[in-house]
Amino acid sequence: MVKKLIILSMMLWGTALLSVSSAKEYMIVGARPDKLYVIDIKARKVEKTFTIPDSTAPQNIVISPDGKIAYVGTNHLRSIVGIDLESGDVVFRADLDYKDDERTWNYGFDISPDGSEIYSYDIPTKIYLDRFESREPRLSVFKTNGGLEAKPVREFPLPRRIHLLMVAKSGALYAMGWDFYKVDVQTGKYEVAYPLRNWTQKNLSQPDALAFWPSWDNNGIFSTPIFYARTDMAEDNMERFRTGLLTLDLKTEKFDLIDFQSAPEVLFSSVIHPDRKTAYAVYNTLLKIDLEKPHTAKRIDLNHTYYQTDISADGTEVYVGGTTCDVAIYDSTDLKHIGEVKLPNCPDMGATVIRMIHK
Amino acid sequence: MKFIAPILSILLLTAGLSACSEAPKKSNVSEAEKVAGRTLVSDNCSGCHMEAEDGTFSRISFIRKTPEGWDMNIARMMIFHGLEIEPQDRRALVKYLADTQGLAPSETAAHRDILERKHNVIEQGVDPDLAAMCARCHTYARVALQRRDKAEWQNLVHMHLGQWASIEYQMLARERDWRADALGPVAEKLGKLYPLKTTQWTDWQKAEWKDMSGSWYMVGHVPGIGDMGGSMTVKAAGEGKYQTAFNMIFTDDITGAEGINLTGMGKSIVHTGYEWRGTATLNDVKYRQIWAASPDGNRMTGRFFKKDHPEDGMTITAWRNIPENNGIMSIVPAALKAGKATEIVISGLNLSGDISIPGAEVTVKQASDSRIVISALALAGATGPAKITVGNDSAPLAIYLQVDYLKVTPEYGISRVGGGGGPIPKVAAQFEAVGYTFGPDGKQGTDDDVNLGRLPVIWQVDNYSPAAAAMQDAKYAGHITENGTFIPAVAGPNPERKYGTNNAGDLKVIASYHNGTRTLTAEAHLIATVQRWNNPPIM
Ligand code: HEC
Ligand code: HEC
Repeated sequence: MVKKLIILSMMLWGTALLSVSSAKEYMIVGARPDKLYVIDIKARKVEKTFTIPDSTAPQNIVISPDGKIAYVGTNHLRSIVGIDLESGDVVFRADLDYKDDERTWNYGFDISPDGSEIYSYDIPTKIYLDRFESREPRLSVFKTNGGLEAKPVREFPLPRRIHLLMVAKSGALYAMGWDFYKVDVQTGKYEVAYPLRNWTQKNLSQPDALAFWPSWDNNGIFSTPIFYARTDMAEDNMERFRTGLLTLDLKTEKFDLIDFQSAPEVLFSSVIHPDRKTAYAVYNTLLKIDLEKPHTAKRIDLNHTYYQTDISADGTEVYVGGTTCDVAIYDSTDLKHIGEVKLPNCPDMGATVIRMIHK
Repeated sequence: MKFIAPILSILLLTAGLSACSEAPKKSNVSEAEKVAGRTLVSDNCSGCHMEAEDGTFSRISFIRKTPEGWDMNIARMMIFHGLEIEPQDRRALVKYLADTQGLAPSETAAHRDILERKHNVIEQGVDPDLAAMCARCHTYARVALQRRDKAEWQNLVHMHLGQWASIEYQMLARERDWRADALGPVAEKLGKLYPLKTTQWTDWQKAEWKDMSGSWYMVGHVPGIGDMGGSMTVKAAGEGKYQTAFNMIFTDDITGAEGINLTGMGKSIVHTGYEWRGTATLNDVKYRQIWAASPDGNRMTGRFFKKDHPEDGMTITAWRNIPENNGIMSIVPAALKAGKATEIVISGLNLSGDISIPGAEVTVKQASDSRIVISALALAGATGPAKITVGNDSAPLAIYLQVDYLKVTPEYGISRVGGGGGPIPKVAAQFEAVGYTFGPDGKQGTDDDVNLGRLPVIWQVDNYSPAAAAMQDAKYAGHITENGTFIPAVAGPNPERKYGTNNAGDLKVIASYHNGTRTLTAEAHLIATVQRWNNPPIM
């Protein structure tokens, strides 16, 4: 049975791999205050550097399905700017505090499978002359052809404290927050697709996971480290504190929770190997996680903190980035350091994300 | 409904009038000062804070704060909202607002450590829920040093939500509905705990706020250095301002030897009738005072610290030199080893009469009405709690045979990396080792244990935990001097360290006291951490 499943998943992803094998792979990253880089990752070379106008701290990046445009969340979570990855031209801009006297924080956005709409999760505050008033968060839907002063075409209320949006192959929008919600982008109706704060896992405490990092480009599956405690274990038992990977397959829309170690370390993000047998997780350490056991098969110390990990489409190289100005490259089998890319003039990547594209 | 409001306001008005007529004495804030203050609010603030028909300004008139609280508030108006205000107007506004909308002495009493800028305070007794909600970015004192009703606490929560994007996402916030909790039960609780109107404040406004001029005697202790006794002369300069002159002598609290002499001049202002804020230059170093006067205006307590190093300072007790203030303020050292002649310094005010220690021979070496130096020799049979008597006053003193155990204070210290070309200086941590006897019950850690004062010890640091050992914190985080001062290492990443991390560390500080063949040791915990990038007046 297990064998069958693996073969099946190889077949599924085999086709995906085939379809990209002819294209060249690039990594897209941003850096403070206003840079966007296109990196020829196998050549370890920054191929293009773009300047984002009126930008302070790029953070989230979403690539159009045709790989031509990068939508960058910037301006301290207040704007989404679309940059043409060939010319560097600004082709789209939405300033999210589009209502009068408002200040808005963006906590995630993603794009529809056909590339026509952007879904943005925004937390507004109304600014009066002598006081602020925190308002309810909303989902704002923008048309990607909305131009440089794009205004939303639809707007719906959403729960507070969402931090990551992702669109499944079917077009369904998933939002991770207190719980994992599934949102109908036409009606704004949402339901709990996977309970977290309200989860019902036996003998497990309320979990903690704050994911900002999209690492599903080369594997079709969202994953994040998630932390919880075994309430059936003694308070002083260190095994009580657990680390798992929470995953959402963006094709089948199935969730999974894989418990793989007790919790001796901070981990910010994870990525699943395209073969789905292995995963990697990062912060001060880089972990190789055997998903079949499941357990941590290898752990190495990094020379500094990295926020995000990602993987090449062929599954041979693991990348870590964010925090400073380098992307470090490791062999996915033995975690040997096999290369790096330093951004020119060493800008601060901060919490900018890594995206992988093929063209 | 329409009729009720006027009737209500008439009622309120007459209530106000009758309160006034009961107290015909001169008001603490003069009419002229009130008019000038209102003009400043009107000129600087009313563009955004509307003046209502009853003369109140929106938001401003419904909150009470400490002088530091008001100053930080005006700073925020400037930084976030673009207020432009002249420095002298800002100072005058702080004075006006602190005098007319301040906190009574009893309302600030529990949180003075933070106001006084002690740097390693662990706040005690905070409701755990309020601590998790409101004291993870700043101290709880910042909250508890304000008075306002629920709606204004809610406004403050809205400001936080609009100002800090990550407030709902951080640890200790994200597992709950932070916004709903803050706007609901927390605002409710704060409105009850710290409401705008209190009898403490009305009573304090009615009390007579005293002029502070005169001559004062101060005692204080500088950890690792010794004890100070000295005078402060205060001259009124009008509008609650004063000129000050200082003359202090230090005594080494281990050897009893006379140490340095610190002298200089300064300026002070008194807010809210008791909040004494001073600056002084002593032996060419700039100092600050954050003190509070007692309600009768005859005593003050607070900290005297270096302006550039608030962690480096002393806690002071000051008495006004008036006949009612007479007696012993401190004795250094307050312990006498049997069979060993020891020099003891007695500080106080209007000291007169015979000096004696039952069970010991006393020789007076030097005597004035504020400072007496004696040599005392106790016989072995006299061990135990004793007292030193000067005229009609006395103070406790311990006579002991041997030190039974040691304690390191503070038990928990904080240092901060700094320097290294960066703008922020290092923040050192000072430790002291204090000796104790077990007391009559022969047991350690009971109420009858006797504090023998500071002892000469050998200092060392070591890794606090296995994790610290793995990171070699003790090697990188800094070093401790002979005097118990932990000097942190330089700021910035250290390429020699694992993960290229900075020179932070989790350490234990170990004191060893050698006494003949016995060695006593004690430990404290030291967090050697990173710089604070902003040092607001109320942490
Ligand atoms: C340019 C507009 C502007 C000016 C001028 C201004 N304020 Fe404000 N003030 C605000 C806003 C907006 C808020 C609400 C957000 C906040 O608390 O920062 C506020 C809030 C306040 C509050 C409530 C703070 C709290 O603790 O909840 C006080 C008190 C206040 N201001 C005092 C003043 C004083 C005193 C002045 C004049 C020296 C002043 N403001 C000038 C805009 C202004
Ligand atoms: C995410 C961190 C954070 C949390 C949590 C937080 N605060 Fe603050 N608070 C701040 C900062 C930063 C300031 C300084 C604002 C400024 O620059 O004036 C502040 C300022 C204040 C002030 C002084 C405002 C003034 O103008 O006098 C008060 C009072 C206060 N907070 C109360 C609270 C209360 C009550 C809570 C809990 C409901 C809370 N804080 C939770 C970060 C926080």
